[in-house]
Amino acid sequence: MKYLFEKHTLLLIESLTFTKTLFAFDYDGTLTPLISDYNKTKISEKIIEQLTLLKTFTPVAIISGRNTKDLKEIMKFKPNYLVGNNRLVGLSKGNNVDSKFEKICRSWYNDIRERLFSGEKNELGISIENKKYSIAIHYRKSRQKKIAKKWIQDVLAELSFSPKIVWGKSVVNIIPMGAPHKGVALLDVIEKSGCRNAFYIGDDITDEDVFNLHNYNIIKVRIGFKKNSAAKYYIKNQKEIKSLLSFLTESFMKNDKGR
Amino acid sequence: MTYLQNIKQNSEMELLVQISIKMQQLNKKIEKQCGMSLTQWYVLNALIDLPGISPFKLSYSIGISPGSLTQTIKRLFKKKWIVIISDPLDSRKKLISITRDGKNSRDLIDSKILPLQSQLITLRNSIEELKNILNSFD
Ligand SMILES: [Mg+2]
Repeated sequence: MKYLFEKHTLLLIESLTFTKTLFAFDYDGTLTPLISDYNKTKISEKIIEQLTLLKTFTPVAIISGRNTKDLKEIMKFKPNYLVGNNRLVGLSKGNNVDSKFEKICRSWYNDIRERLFSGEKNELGISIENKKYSIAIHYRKSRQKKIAKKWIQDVLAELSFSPKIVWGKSVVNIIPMGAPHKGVALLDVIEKSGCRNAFYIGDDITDEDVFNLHNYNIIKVRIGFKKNSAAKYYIKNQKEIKSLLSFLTESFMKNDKGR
Repeated sequence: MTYLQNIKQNSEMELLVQISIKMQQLNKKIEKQCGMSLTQWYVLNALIDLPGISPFKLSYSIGISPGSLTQTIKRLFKKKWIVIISDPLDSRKKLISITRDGKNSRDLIDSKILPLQSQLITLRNSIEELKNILNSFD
């Protein structure tokens, strides 16, 4: 991971403001500091002001595991796209829909595992991971990546409840339709916004679904350095979000002056 | 018969050579007057929409061979019009972005080319025809 506020990395971030880029943020722990009482989190006036200014230049999205209604109530800022748990069902704590997704994933997991270990295919170096609301099939360790990928494609085509498929770097994620996945949510919003490029920042494990997307046109930033994160860039802590927002809005303002 | 004589006998070939030479001259002229070659402009222009792209993917996206793109990238970097950073997840890979200086220079060229627009537009059909001819070589 690279620190975002290094000179050269900042030049990369600045270049995002020269074109149509979607700026997407996680909410808890990203726009607000994490505090023990989940219901008392508050987004600071300064950040609201910065986001409002940012929105005058470019589309802004908030993608959160929180209840959408809650989110609308507590947030004084209205982004262009707000994705809460009505489209990310399950990121907040338990309901029936969750267990449905869990069951689908478990059946996929067993199905794929069975095929993987019943024949000659485990020689392909494929492994499978059950992530509760999604399944990851890894083939990074494979020495025959093309054959491994083809084998996975064939297996996916035969699964019951056809999944949403998200290819990553030597990994494929399969997700039940409608199940929680910030990566899928972000791709949806990017498409809706008509932007070619996106910037995403988040702080926890559910944000890894975004960080794992293999699209080169998404700049992924994590709050806090973490060795195994798939995000390429990080800022040191939540407080630095203000500096990031200032940097972005100032860049956009410079563009306007140049015109 | 020398090689050149042979070419001259073949008027169509000569035409292609002439076009190629004229394009090089135009490129040089623009580079001298504006400080930026047509290829450099083309790469900068593409980079505006593709921030943080790898040289390999850029080469694929804009249809310039990796070899000649490398040369252009070196020149653009020297002029500080682009920034090259190593991919944080794989230091062997590089990522390129246009800088503000690069963007301003591109904008400047655009404003210089603008008055020529009506003349250039007459070339459009010829260029399309040339493209068709080139495609038949594939
Ligand atoms: Mg969070």
